[in-house]
Amino acid sequence: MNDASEPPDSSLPAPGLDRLSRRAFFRLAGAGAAAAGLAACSSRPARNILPYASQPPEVTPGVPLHYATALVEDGFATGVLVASHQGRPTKIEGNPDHPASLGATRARDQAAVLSLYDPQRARSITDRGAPAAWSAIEQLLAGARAHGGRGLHLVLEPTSSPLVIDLIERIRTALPAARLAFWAPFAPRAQLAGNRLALGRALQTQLDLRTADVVVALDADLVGDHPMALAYARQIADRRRVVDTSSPMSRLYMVESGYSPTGVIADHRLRVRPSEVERIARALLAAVIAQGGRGAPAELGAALARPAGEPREAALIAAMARDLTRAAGRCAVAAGDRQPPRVHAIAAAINAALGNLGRTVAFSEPAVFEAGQPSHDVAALADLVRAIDGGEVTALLVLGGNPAYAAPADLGLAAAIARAPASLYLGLYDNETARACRFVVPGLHDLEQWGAARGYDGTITPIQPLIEPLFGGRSVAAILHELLGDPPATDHARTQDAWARRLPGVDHAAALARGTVAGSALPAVAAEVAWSALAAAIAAPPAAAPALELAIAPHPFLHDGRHTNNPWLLELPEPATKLTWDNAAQLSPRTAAQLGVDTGDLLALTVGAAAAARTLDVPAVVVPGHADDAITLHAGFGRDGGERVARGIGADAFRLWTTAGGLSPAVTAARRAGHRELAITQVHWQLEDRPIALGGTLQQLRDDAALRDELARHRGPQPTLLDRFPAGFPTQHNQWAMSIDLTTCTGCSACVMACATENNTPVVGRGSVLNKREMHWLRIDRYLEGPSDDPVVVVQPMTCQHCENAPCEYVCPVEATTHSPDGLNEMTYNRCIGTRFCSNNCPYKVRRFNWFDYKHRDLHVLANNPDVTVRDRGVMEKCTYCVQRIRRAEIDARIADRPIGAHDVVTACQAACPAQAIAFGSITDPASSVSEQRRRPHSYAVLHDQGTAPRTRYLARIRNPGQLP
Amino acid sequence: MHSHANRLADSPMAALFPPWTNTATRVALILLAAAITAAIVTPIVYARMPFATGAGDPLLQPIPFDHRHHVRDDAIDCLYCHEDAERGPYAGVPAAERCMGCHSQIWNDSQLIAPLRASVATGEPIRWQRVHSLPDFVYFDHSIHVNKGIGCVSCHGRVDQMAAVYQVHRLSMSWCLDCHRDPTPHLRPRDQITSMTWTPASPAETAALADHYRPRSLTHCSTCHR
Amino acid sequence: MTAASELDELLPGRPDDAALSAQLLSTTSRPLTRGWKLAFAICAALTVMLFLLVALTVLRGIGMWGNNVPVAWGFGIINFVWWIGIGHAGTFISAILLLLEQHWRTSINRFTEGMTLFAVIQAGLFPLLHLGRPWFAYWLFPYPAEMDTWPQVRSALPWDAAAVSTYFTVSLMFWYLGLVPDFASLRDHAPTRRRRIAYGILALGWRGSVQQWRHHKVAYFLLAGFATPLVLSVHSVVSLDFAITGLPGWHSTIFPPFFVAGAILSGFAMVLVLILPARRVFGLQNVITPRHFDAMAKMVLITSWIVLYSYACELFVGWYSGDRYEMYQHLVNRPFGWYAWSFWLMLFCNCFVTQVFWSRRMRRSPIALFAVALLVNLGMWLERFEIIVVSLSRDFLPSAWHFFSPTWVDLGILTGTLGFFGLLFLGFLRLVPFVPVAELKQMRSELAHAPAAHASTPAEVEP
Repeated sequence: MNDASEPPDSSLPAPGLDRLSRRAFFRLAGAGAAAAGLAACSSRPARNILPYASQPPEVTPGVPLHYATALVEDGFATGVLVASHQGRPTKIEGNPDHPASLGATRARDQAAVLSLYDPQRARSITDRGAPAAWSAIEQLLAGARAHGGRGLHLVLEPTSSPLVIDLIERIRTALPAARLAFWAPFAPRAQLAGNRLALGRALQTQLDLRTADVVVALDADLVGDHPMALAYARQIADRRRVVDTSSPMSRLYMVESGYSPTGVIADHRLRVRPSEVERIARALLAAVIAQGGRGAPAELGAALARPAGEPREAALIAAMARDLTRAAGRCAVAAGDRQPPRVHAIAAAINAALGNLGRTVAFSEPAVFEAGQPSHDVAALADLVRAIDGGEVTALLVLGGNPAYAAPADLGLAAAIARAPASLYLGLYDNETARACRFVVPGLHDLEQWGAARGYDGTITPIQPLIEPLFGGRSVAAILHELLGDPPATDHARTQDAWARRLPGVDHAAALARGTVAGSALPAVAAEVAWSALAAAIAAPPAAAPALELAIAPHPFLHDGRHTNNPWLLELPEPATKLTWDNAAQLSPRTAAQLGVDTGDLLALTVGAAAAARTLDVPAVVVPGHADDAITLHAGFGRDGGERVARGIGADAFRLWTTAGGLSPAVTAARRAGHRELAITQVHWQLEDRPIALGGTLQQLRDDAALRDELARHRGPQPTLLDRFPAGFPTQHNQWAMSIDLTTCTGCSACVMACATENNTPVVGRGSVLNKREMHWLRIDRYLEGPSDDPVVVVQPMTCQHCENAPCEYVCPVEATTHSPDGLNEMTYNRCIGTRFCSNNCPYKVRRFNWFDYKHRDLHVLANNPDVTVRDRGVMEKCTYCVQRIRRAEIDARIADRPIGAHDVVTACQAACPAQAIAFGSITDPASSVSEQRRRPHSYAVLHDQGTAPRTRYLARIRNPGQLP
Repeated sequence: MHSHANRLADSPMAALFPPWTNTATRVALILLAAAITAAIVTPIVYARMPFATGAGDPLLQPIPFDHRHHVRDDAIDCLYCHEDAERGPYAGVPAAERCMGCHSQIWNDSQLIAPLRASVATGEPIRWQRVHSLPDFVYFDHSIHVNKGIGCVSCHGRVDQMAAVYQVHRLSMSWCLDCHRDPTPHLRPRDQITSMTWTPASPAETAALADHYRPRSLTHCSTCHR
Repeated sequence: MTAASELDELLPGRPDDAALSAQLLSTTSRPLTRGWKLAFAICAALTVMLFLLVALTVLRGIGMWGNNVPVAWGFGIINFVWWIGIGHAGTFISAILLLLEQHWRTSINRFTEGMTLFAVIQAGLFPLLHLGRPWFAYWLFPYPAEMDTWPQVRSALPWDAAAVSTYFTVSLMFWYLGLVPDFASLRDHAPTRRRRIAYGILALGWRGSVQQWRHHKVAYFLLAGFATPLVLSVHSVVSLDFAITGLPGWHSTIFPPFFVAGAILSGFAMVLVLILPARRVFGLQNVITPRHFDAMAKMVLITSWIVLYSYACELFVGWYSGDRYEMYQHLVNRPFGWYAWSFWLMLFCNCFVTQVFWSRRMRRSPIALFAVALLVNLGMWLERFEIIVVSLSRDFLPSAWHFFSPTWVDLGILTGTLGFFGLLFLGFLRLVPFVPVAELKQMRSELAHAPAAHASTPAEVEP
């Protein structure tokens, strides 16, 4: 028996539009016509038409407008373009002009629209939970202003906004006694500290991988978890695309404990525990110096102890050193922020020794204000706690973030904040920090506010609102202005004013239109490795690794827990484990066996000794390829605030975060009684020797005819009695097709989220996912090859293949799924009666069924795409190749009397993909990228032997491993 | 065999069933057959009746807007008010401001347009009744039809003769398909789109139009359903 | 054997018309026993539960069941195929055996026809119920829709709907036609006037005149001829629901005969399960005799061998095809996969226990018959589970594999249909003579007056 019969996503709340004023709703929904997309099939359409009282000239009902703005995280901006339907933002795409986006987005960027419409956002100013007036806040701030700000403490999120920095500097002068701290749990600190060790200054490392033939990532998830991940993913992918047998390909080494997206695409992956990375780094530096690294003192190399690692490790280090030295100046070594400063320093040293500085590696001033300074350290929070206990704090302003939850637990910050005499929290949710503070002021979502921020590379990115604040929130700037006692003004006016002062000569309007300020990236600063200082800094060998260590990692979608109330992200399968609606202790099969646990069994993790011991119960999840004797646990769960979706899901990893232990503490684990059924979307991970995810090495593709023939066998014509293209298809139409590159796909899942946001795919909740009823039209299959403890992972985006001989079509009794003349496998929801025969006959099992009524009930409906039908209970649904975008492009082209251009149709998944692994277009146009990719030697069709003639083809997964000495 | 039959024949059936029951039985059988037929035919017919399709039934609007007056007497072009018909999926109902363009000058104090003045003043939309409403899973796009030579009158009828606008056609899928299968006879010159009276002078003209627009017979599902 | 000796086996003691009428019509008038009431109450309760669960499913959605993707068909279709299969013995016995002049069919045919109807009613629930949007089920039938749309004839499902409804209609007519003379005798023997009128209406004015008998015979044989192909066609069409797909384990050309054989196997098993208690309760040892058991047991044995042969074919073809998916399905997944237990249990029930019927003693022992029949019914349900759930749970892409587990609603609906079936059956036993009196009398007179050793032909029956 299972709990499939439990109601769908019971976890989801349902305060409806009633909470929202009618007026506000009209403003949101725009012309009633747009509401058409909100209702479901076979339900009566809206009976009223609500025209504008005065229609903005740029608005044409039914035609979305796009605005450039930015989403900010830990102070770093990602430029995005937001589609708005009559003032209702519905879809986020990357801004191609923005260096940190290049047109792509992360999964959590895609999901931002749902957070915007989260009905559980803080809605009104409260004083200890009771409604309060703004005047109360004014009094508080006026009081804080007194005596030069003595006793005033502010905790802000790291910021790079010139406008906020302007205010901070004014506060520093006007209120010299005020104390400021900047806090975000996963803001990059180690890198700056490490560069201070190596270069003498806290500088930010700027990689340029466009020319890197060899990349060594030391626990650095460059394409997954990095403020610049989207750009790096593109740069790495561009160096690894296989066009023909003569294509060059860069080589990527990954040293890590968990299995990250970077690890997935790596050619060589060395699985070691976090604390062992430093040993590898030292050995690598030594080897590089030994092979004649420039400027590096030979004695340093000699000083660094050779690793006592096992043979494969030694061989890999030798291979890395060899490849790096060969590619000196055309390679890069990167360290991840979970690593201590010493590793970053060593990485900088290796880059210097290889002459990469100024080529693939540069250094700039930090993009974030005061980054690398004490105000950003844990110590700043410790000081705050001390100050509160010392009674020195008269007013505490926490503006954004959630420090009460996301900070070392032993600080007791939440309790301390609660003890502060007067405290104010400004934020989106009534979260842990809000509950600790006296006053709560609703904050603004990025899509609701004016402002600016810098990208990781320093590019200044203007931020503009897409919609009036839904719940009348206030911006950080507004609070700071109030604190400074500035005369009232609109955020817009203040923004323009500050912009004019901070960025003289930069046209605000032009910047808004483009989404960036051209040429505003931070200049590279000349920096030299101070070898003697470095040698001193890393003289002491790394501490011996504990028996078992824990890595508290940011969740790939929820980050530090700020997105945990977003059901889209909770239901998005975590790439390494395919786990949804939970976090779990990831460990290797061997470690699991030693602890006597299997996936789902409960583990008690304990950090710290006797009195200070902190214990957390989490279910285990076995991840082949994870380092032995190490556990990875994602943060962001175990939330305890007012967000009803997030509450009580998973375990709070931060409770094991101590100032002493840091984010990679020693841990002891013990089997606990009990088992938790985990909602994992994939139960079988082997390919069973089936022609599904094909691949080989670059060498094989070049020299091994066998591989090429094998691949050719999986795309050639198949004997069939049925109509086949072109016979069955009139060729005056376009013939749509897709090509997916398994070589560059990292499995980051941005495409899955993009698909869901574009196509109104519902959230089904944990209960339904447990019974394999998730709704994603596009899923990322994950297959393991080779040894079970250290397998090679192949990820494969799998969605409707739009077969030319579609098995689903002929079994439908009512022709609800049919073939269009332009080669689409159409799904007509309103004709479907739900026999599910099509799903049974689909060899790819990519069809999804509405087992219950999963439609949005609350404010979330506003995130729906009005160009896609919202499916009713009991109908089948699946990938349509974003047919709404195709038809739109068709209509525009027909009206303009021109053929559809090669780039007129971009599917949602394709647009989001940072690696540009997805190509879409018409195969009647031989110049289209799809046609070109289908001609490549490693293009093939999945289950070609079934004669379904899929329109979606794949490029085999090609790896470029080197010889191991 | 005989004995059996005879004994049954002697049984007191006459007492039990008087002769009229034979007729009754026959009638009952006929009625049964009729009922079964009716059960099948009625809904099929009903679905095509005006009160099922909503055709021919003028709705009470918040403002008694008279198209006869505006279109016929004042000769205001459809696109002056429904300007989005050329640009987007929805023809659109004019913003209150647009109406006020004229009505700030004429009839500006009429009680009839009080809701209009209110809308301009408060910014509250006027809640018009939707006359032509397609199901939500139908994606009809005005712009492609208007730009490819399908006139307003083809679907909306002689609006210029309507006091209160009503739906003229069934607006059912078969009705859409009638035209989608062969659009040619319905084509008209681009400059006659909004004309309520234009008809092709000759088959040759229609042929010329077909040659100009090159209409496609789009009958696959995703043409309208997405 | 001679007609006379056959008669002695089929109708020991050769009771005369009056005796037969008295004995067989009495079942409709004798006072209700406590056991019967209890059984009726239980069945009624289960029926209520069934319809509550059906309402729940329609109101909340198919999600109330355990189905998922990949296993998009679960208990719903299993139960459908199982009940339809059971429904086959009826027509087989009444029509085919009638045409084949098998006298032993006479005393059990109405019984089995009743069972057929009630089984088909259970089966008929599911094609409707398992739809995501049952209220649009009429789209399965060709009618002039104002959407200009038609059902798709390439799919098996519209044919399924047609086949099942035809089968039900024909079975109903056949059953009723056979009942008419007995309704007449009931009318004449019924104690109260109200009953006489009720049975009189049902008898449609039957007086037993020679002419009526002639028409009756002709119509009865015509219907039999019409029903005979249905026995084969219905389950063949049902089997196409699977055979037309490309799914390993479904994609097979032997399905139609395989399904028909299985259907008749389960049908006869169900007849035995029902008739043994009824015979005992109503004391019909003299009309339902070991000779009948013997014949039915032989049918079970034969069909179980056909089924075994079909399993063997599936396995062999799975291997012989060389297709890696077929091989995995038949040689790995079914015998050794997640649901291996159901595979072996199915083989045991459908093919091994039936072998006891090689022994004459077993063929005539009510206990053995009852036990084996029960096991066969279980086995045939498992066969459908094997085909539907096990095949779907692991098809082409390993990433999509997933197990199926039923919900309490699934189990409730299955038991509910058993209760509903029982309810209808108990009503049937009570309200109509479930042993065809008139036909039995005919048979007796035919065999008694048969001139030669061979059985008489219909023509000679005429007076």
